[in-house]
Amino acid sequence: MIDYGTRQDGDVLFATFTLGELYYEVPTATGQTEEEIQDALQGAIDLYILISSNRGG
Amino acid sequence: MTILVGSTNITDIQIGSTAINSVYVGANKVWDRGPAALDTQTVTVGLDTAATLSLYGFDRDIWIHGSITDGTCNFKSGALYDAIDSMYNSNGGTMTTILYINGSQTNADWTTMTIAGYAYQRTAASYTQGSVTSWTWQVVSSVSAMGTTVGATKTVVFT
Repeated sequence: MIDYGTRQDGDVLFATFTLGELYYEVPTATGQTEEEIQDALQGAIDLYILISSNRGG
Repeated sequence: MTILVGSTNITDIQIGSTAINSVYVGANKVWDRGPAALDTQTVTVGLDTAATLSLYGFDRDIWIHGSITDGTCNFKSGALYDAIDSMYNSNGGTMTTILYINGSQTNADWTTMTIAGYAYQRTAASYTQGSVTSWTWQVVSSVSAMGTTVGATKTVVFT
């Protein structure tokens, strides 16, 4: 379970969290369940790691 | 509002040297120029691959491919663009559009990135801020905004 906050940006509500030295913002959608938000947050982490590891970062 | 000539999205209309800001059919507006660009870059498409990934576009860092002109971001105090790519992952069939800007940048100051007519909203992106800042958009698709032709040039416009 990722502990997250929120930030409103115009019409969009971002879920926000920090992991190590990285700060993430992931857009949420109206009606999204907690499980779907958690999946989106984990997906953002996984995607960042996938790209960074292949970029050598 | 778009005007297509064949499959090409028209983004600029001029009569002589005069820029046209809107087009009407009767009383109905069918096209407008939209907001002024904050920055315009030209990417010469390169290709790099790793495992199940194929990247078309530009990356100036370790995963080097393609090139960009001029490569500095006008709305982030001249920070360098590190990467603008379309990344296809055959494991899952996803296409991820990638924007990396060097340095720790805020999630603000621009609204839309358009690559060759494909528009990406900042507020629809997953954003990660560290020593490099990234915005990513992932969908299940094989459609690449950067195309798949190495050496092709793509215009990237930020508004």
